[in-house]
Amino acid sequence: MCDEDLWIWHLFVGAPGSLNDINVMHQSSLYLDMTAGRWPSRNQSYTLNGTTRTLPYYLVDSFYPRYAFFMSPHPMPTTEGHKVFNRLQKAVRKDVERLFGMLTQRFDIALHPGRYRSGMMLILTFKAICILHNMRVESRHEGFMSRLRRAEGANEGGGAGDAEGQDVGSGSAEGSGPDDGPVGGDSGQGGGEGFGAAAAAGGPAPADAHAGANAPPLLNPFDQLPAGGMAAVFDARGETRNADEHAYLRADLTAHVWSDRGDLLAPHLS
Amino acid sequence: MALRPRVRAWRIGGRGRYLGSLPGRRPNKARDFDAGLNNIQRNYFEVDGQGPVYNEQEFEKRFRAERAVFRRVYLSVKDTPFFLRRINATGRPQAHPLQKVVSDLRVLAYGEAANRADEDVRFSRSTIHLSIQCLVRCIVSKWDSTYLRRPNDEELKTMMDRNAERGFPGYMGSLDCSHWAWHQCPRSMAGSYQSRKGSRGIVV
Repeated sequence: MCDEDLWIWHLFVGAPGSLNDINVMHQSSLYLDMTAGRWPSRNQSYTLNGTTRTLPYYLVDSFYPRYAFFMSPHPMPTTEGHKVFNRLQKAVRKDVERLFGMLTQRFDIALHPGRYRSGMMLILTFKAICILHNMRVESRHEGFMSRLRRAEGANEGGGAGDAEGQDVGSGSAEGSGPDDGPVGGDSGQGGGEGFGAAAAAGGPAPADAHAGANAPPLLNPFDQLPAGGMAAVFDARGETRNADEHAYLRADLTAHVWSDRGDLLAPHLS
Repeated sequence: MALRPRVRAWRIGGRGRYLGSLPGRRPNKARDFDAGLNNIQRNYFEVDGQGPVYNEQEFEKRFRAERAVFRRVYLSVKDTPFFLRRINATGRPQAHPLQKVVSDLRVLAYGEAANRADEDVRFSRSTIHLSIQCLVRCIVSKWDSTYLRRPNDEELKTMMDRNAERGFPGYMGSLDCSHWAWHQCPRSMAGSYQSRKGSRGIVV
């Protein structure tokens, strides 16, 4: 699961290859938490076409089941509004397809068949690749989300604040060379053996310090009984897996997209 | 010559766990670790007052990571027991942690065979293989909760605000699955790991 910056927000790796996407989804911790009402916290509300909802959703393809937290394209678009919605939905969902393309291009080990003898190493390796990918996304701070994270890092008192101004000014970080980044270039590198000591002095403030502060609170950890009793869990399950709600949400979204289709579709039509 | 039981088991089993240096096994090659270290430092860092041969773009291309990311990885693992530069039984220093990190990142970035980097960093195949496992474990144990966590409320709100501009208020990400083939999948598990396209692998 990723967002527009290709920041990976959730990763579930390790299901055997014989499972299809739905089976994998059903055993992922994300699905289990969402259907049990543990996550997300439902504090954010948004209004669509006159209806206010609190359950955010993921964009998926039409293969996934019709749950309230999934948004798939219309299976058989008949009207112009449905077609516009499908076009936009596919354009926005392409983030995750870009992510898989980029991961395999960037870390070729994911492109070739894994050569480890234990499945655990495959899982760990893929996780490590994703962590490195996220670190790189963060260090290049392309896009808004990662810049926000960097701003948080600067508040903590790291050296990130200086680099931020110039980098925001340089526009798309893809174009600007890595020399502009917070790397510190060669100046941070002492001679030879002193690499470690010299490197420790400079560098951007890593986000590790915020891991504790930023981590989402577990609403109902496994070892505690849910706050509202089991009834709350069943309610959440019924609510998140509601196919009618899925249809209403899609209808509302279709109307919303149709109302300003010109502006929304413009970036995707070249 | 009577072999010690560990060595005999290793011989009989064909391949087993990593044993390291033992009587009855081939001696290590004189690999000259310092040459590998000097090579790396000459190429990508500063040594003897000379600047690096390769510039930042090439550094980023080779390791798929910028210098800042590389530095964070290096600093996080360089003091762990496996990576720490040790003195071996003969009193000579072993390899530098920088060599291990470089060889591991090359394998991750290029997907190359573990013995490919032997000429550059002067490590045997088995050392690089061990070292990758250690690096991967270090990275995952240290940063799993930082970089692969769920968004908190604030980030969720930012994400939803931003996606509202794209036409999807309340949208918090895209979801998809992908397959990663597993070359060394054991026969006994082939059935459950076989994908519909016939290759064995895991789902990501």
